[in-house]
Amino acid sequence: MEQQRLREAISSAQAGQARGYEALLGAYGPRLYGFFLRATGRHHDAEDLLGELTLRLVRRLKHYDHRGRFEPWLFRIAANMVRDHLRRMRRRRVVVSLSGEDEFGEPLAERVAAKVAPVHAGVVAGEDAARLDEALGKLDIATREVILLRHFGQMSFKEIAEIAGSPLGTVLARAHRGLGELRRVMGYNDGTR
Amino acid sequence: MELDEQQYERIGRYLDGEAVELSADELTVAEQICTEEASLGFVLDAALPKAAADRARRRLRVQVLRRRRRVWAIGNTAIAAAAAAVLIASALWFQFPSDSPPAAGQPAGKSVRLELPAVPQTQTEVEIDMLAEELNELTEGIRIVSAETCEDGDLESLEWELDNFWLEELESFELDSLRF
Repeated sequence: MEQQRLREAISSAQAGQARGYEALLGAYGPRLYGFFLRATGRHHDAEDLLGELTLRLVRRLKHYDHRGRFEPWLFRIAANMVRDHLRRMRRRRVVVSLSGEDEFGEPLAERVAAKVAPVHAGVVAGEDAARLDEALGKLDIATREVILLRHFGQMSFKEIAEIAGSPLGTVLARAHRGLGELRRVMGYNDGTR
Repeated sequence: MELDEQQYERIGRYLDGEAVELSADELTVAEQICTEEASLGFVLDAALPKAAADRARRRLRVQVLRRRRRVWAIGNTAIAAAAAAVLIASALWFQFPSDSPPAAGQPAGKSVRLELPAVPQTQTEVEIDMLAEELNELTEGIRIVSAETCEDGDLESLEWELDNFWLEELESFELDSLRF
């Protein structure tokens, strides 16, 4: 979003006008959604987080002092939300064995198979995305955060280091390691896949 | 290629646009990071589904509207409280005039009061009771305004939940009908 339009959108939103908020959502919504999706690996969670972020935006924007760096401010909120979300998910995680039985004595594997939609072309085309999610899932949270903030938040390494609360050298080392790991899993090399 | 923390820091500053002179190894890693970031960009991007964008926009509008109403409610309560305070202050002022210094050629306030016939104690108590009653009524009025605001908030919240409930129901219905 161009600086002048961004400033106008922020002023309008700070004055309590829905138009301003909508302009911000229109400009940053897709990138925020992408960030949430790649961080959580689930469309449903990404949508929930995007909805929650819009509410936080309404609450917090009046305290925001615009000095040309709106993205780091916005993505800092988004990164904190993802961390909270992942922490909550870790606490809730329950492992169910498919070799077990349900309350009626039916094998769970059969019940699950009956509920799974048949594979179609879209799923095959989405294999890349699945592989990417798997690869991102293998990275530790801090490394994944660096890569995603860099891409979706378009932030400098210094800004990411501030958000992560880590030294700049550590952030760079994570980025280098993480990108290398993704390249290995995704199977692309030197800019060509 | 193994680099230490300081070397990585130099690469970070270089990639952030600072004029840093890098060694051959550091430059190789910096270029590697740039290339990999560029390659990964296309894979990472994800389109925001229109339905999700619409829902987020609607949620945003509701939140902005709710916030605006809350500001109005707070403003109204503040005005009511200020009006009550002014009313009470004027009532007290008329009831118990202040001992202001007398104007030229006029007797002092205190002496005027002394010249008035003594007010029986019981009558003053009755007037104080009436004032207290007025004060209570005003306080009650403010309380009712606040309570109404809360009810409005609760109703809005219920409406919002209901809206979401039907939205989710409709979505799951549509998905089911597509699947079977």
